[in-house]
Amino acid sequence: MQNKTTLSIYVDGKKISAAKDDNLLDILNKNDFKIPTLCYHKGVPSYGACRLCSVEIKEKEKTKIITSCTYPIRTDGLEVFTNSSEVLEIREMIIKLLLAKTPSSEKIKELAKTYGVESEDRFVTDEDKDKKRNKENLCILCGLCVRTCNDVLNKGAISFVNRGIDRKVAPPFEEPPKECIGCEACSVVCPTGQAKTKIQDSRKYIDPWGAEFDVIKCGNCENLYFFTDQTINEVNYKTKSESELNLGSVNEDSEYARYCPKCKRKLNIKNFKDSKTLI
Amino acid sequence: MKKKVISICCGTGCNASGAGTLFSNLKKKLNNIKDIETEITVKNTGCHGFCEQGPVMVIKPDNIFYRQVRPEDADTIIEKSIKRNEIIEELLYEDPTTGKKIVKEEDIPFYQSQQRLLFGYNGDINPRDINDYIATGGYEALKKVFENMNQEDVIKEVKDSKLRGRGGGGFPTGKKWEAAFLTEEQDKYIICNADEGDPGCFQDRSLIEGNPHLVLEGMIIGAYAVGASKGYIYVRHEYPLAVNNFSHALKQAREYGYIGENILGSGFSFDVKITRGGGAFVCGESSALVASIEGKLGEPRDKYVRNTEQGLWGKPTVLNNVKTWASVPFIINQGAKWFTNIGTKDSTGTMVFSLTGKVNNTGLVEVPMGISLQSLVFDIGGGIKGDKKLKAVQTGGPSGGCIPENKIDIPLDYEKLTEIGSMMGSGGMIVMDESTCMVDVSKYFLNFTQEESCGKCIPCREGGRQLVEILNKITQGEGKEGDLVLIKEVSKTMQRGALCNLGRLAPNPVITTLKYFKNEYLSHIYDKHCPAGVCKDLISYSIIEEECRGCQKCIKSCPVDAISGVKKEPHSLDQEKCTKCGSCYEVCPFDAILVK
Repeated sequence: MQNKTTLSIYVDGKKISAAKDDNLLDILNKNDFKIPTLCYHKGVPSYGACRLCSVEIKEKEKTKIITSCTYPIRTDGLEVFTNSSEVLEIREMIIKLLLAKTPSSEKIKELAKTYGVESEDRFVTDEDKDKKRNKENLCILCGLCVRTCNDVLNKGAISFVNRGIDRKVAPPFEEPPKECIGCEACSVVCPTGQAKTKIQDSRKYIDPWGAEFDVIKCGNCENLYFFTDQTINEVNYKTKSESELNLGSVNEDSEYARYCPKCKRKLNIKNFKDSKTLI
Repeated sequence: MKKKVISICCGTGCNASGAGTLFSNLKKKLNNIKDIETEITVKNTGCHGFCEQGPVMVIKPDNIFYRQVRPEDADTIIEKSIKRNEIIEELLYEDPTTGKKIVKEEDIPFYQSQQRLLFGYNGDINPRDINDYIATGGYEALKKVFENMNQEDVIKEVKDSKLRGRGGGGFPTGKKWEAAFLTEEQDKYIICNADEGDPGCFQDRSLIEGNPHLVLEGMIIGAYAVGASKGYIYVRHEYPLAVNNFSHALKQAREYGYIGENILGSGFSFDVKITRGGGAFVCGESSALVASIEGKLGEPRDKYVRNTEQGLWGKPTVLNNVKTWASVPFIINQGAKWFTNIGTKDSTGTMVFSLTGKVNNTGLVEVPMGISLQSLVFDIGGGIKGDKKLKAVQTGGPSGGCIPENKIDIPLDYEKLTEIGSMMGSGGMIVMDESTCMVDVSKYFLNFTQEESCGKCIPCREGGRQLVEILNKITQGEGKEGDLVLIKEVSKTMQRGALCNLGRLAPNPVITTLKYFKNEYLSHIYDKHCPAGVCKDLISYSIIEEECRGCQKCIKSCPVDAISGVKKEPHSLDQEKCTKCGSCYEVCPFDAILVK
């Protein structure tokens, strides 16, 4: 890695150092500034959709609102205000708009409570419009599931479809996606719980996309655990070069991959004691 | 031998009214005539701009201007105007104010106050013939660049010309080019943005359709200046003629060696590819456009890192509007100093407006920057249709603002328009008369931007939706106290917090109408009354007994049988049945229908 230029920025008057091109939100988080976010996840490329992490910056005597999650720090002496009246106004309005979008979402209600925001009764809510269909809809279109599936896992099982207020997340042709490997990453990153996974009778259901899988049994203890065959294949494929290394007592790489986390740990401990190479 | 050229506008507007058939009729008939001494050429050219009067035709060298020419007029034109040099009175343009017939194109008030630079040759050349363009001095600028100028010289010339982005933002073009030129990257791209999407706008379309080589020449010069070897033109799929003419132009330019490998022996290579847009308004936004060319979802990204640093495929990219590229050859040919003499100090050159709405002369208008709105609407536009009063002018398309009648003397430049809450935009201009309801207008534009929002960010998607809902309620008589405050709050969040300019500028129509026509909003909310008589839920139709002669016209026109009465006696209207369609109002010959 090249040495990056170190810059000083001033956040709410406090001097902080950062490297050039550092993500502003990361730096704010690192320095314990409380910035609300919904569409941000450290492991996923930034997107700037929810605009909750908006802060005010001052550059050359001009102030403007920017989203910290997509802002690379490049100016020495940059001034950042995380709680200016403009920032608070925008934050409050976005939460009000979200309360109207998904009134049932616990996550949004909690957010509103934290920031002392009450719902705006002049706003139309999805539930007013179509009670049956939208009662259960908790999606705020942050796109974390889409980005995780596309940019992190390179699977592309889901994407945004339509535009404007008709925008939604859906698999191709709204059919159970063939590309889905049942990894559950979408449910893990979903901030509101709209993307859900449930396991029932050795079947796994990735709820909103209609994907179903058999859950595999551990290759060692025979207990059911959360992996699917497709996930194992994906892992094997992606780690092929490493799996060609010495695999200790396990001969088949796929066999080791099929161990449940508990058994994997046990096996590694055993190998370590026997001074064998760790897997 | 004497020469005559009949130039027929075959732009999309005139073509729709039969210009194509007129052209082939004339061509066929002229082929059969042997007994005239004159050499006659019939030319199908690009848009002449005066779309209101289409199909239009100019007979040169005398510049006789005929309008609303029908395909069957071909015979008369040949017999009278070609063979006998006579003027056909019926086809002449009549000045609506003086009632005088005007013979020559240049004497028509619509053309008189214009300064047609970019559109100057649109009426002269056949867009599908590169030789026509070359005959007007085309590709001379390119030769000049290769012979006498290095990259820095070109950039300096464009910077000195103070040319600004014609897509609406007004960013200095030379500065943009310089930023891309100075990057260390080897691969660079240039893009021509022809994704014109504003309702009622067609200047980019007409330019590509009518003079594609002008745009292309500008692009080649730009590519040379920044050091790009590949260019894209992003055209709407809905513009088939533009796509057609431009691809033809590319083919010809390749044959003549103006694009391709080692252009004119200069060692510089460059080529252009056409990408067709899929019909999303938001793809006119530069970062969404770039994403769309890359084959991704057409949605914008935050532009804290500019396209000139990381654009198409992550490489430095210069993206300019059609009119910006088309201005470049003029600047190179005639110099930056000449260009700065047109327009104002900070807004140089000309601007093309699509003049539409309740104005007598609609069409494409090219004027020097800084001309007053008054002059545009009344001198060139010929005033308001049907003796009505001007109420407001919407400039800058759906994201622009409404300029009220009392501010009509403002000069049209980037700063002045922004100052009063509107913007230059891509040059849309909609003239509204007193029968327009401003609440209804802002509802219309907000509906448009909301439907065209990509839906990525919350302020635009959700904020826009709530604004439309509130405006809907107001026009339906369900407005409440506090609505206007709420509109302002939501608008503010959109203006400062939305991701791209579509969302940021979307509230402009409602903000400016609230500023200049607040009373109309108050009437809707508190008096449940629409002063312009437009909002259906707030108006009622009734019959003025004293005026009604009992002609029964309204009874026949009413689709729901809400009007009854016997002949020669005043009729009556049943409010319960009335659907407020307004057809009785339209047909009544005695002005006996009252709208309240």
